[in-house]
Amino acid sequence: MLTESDLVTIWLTVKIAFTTTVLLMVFGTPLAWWLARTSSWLRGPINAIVAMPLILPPSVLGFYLLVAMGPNGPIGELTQWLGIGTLAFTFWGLVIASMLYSLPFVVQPIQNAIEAIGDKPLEVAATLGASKLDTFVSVVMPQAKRGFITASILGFAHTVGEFGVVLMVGGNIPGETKVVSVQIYDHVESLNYLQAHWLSGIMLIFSFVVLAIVYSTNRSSLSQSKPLAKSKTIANSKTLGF
Amino acid sequence: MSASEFNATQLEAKVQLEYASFKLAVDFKVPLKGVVAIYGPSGCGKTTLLRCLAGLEKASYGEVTIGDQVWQNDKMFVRPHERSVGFVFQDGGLLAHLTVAENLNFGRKRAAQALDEKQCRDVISLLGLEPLLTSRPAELSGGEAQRVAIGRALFLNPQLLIMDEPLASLDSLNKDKILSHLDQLKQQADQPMIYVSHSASEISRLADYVIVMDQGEIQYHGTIETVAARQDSPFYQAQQPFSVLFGQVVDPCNQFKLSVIDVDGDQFMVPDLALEQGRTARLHIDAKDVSLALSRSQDSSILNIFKASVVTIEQLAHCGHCLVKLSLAQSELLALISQYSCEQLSLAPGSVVFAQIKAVSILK
Repeated sequence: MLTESDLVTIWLTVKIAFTTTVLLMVFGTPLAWWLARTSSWLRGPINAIVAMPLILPPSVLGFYLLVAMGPNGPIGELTQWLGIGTLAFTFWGLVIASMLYSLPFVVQPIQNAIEAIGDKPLEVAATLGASKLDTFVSVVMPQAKRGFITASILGFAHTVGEFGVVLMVGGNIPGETKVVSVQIYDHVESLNYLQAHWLSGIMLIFSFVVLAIVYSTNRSSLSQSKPLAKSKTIANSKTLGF
Repeated sequence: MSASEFNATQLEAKVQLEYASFKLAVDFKVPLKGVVAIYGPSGCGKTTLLRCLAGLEKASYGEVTIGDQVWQNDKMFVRPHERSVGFVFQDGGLLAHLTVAENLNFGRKRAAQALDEKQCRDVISLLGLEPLLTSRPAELSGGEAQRVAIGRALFLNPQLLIMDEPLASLDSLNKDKILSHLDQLKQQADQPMIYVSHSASEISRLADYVIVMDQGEIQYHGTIETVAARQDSPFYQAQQPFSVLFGQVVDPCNQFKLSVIDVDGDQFMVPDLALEQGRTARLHIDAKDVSLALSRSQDSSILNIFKASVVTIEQLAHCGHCLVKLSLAQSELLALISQYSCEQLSLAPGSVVFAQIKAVSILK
């Protein structure tokens, strides 16, 4: 069964993933909007930066973050100047690292969904008297809803699944930075296979459920068009006098 | 309604805009009453001009003034959502995530002087939208979507209603339905409209004023009567010259079931169309339906025969016809006759003839 320290790591993992997802939705949405709509030359380079965590080894990302957050790194100097010490091996350090690590998983689905809307609905909304912010809330958000849902689910799940970055930046402090993936590693190291099985099984089921939700909601967008098609044939048969 | 009555509001625009392969440079001042049509071939800049008027396109140089309101000059630019414009896009542009009713109300909720509920119900019944209110845009046919788009723009009660080839994507049956809705709208609502089209028939039916564009520039503009009577009018080129006359209904239904319409003293008789007494009627006369005689025929079944004098005669080499411009009491009338007849009657500018009009269509 799960030990108390297992439960603490699960709770911590959920807390980090939730915080990261909320912050990423807040900061990632304007970034995704900008990337989807801009014609600036910066679009290419910024897109590349956003996508980098997809291919970089997590240890590389973690290494640079560790250096940057350290007492002599730019982030470390900033945080010390602000009087909050250094962020390495802290909860918030882990959140910042997770935000970078999961950035593409949140930005890209939103960006794609906004690109798919195109200019037309935005222009239509403008001619109907909606300001830019109003248009974002009343046209872009509902039309890109699926992108936002996918982004938040993938952002959460991907943060739960991180290992390399956490190990580099967060280390192994129980209750502070020790997340499920690190706990499993520790169990295996100490040949505690039964505990490793429990936690790994939970992660396996969690991942499956999350992906099943993502793919089923995509699926339901297809099946949504079915009742439409049906009602259309009914309307047609009415005009034909059936 | 004649040209001199156009004075209510004016639309003034000076726009210059350049893309890689396209240049728009226009400068015009037109009366904003009834329907102002912009006519021209595809790619001549009509849509871009409309987008500039609505503020969707920021011209490199632009001045747009409507009535006493400045929408754009070198110091200011009123953003599109702050302009009182209703824009009907070529494909309707309904918001896919909203029902028809929600689409109709989207702009109304945000407009400063939107129609009240009763007026909205009138628009809904005028355009026949009741059965569609709960549908989603994806369920509508092209014609239905276009009617919803028109209704949605009307709900705003805008200072300017802009329609960008609203019928271009429709089949002729749907076109005709919507045209008659627009006809009715023109009668019932005092809504200034800019109507873009490359169809001469739509323009002859709806327009009060016509701007003719080509290659990013305005060729000329004027009232429908004057533009239709021009030698270089696009309606000539389409080989369907016609005249438009305006008259008053003096007798809506006489004992022979004919309406009598007075056009500057000439009494036109047309099949009864249940017109109201005293109202203005718009007569559309195809030049090919006008024949000429040197004396007033006493034994003809033709109802409408008027004394006229020849103003100009233009030989149309490609078809062996002559286009004769006649002057009636106050207005001008075109007749398309064969060159042979023209010589037989020895017509020349100044000749007095009798114009026999075989068919008159009344546009409500």
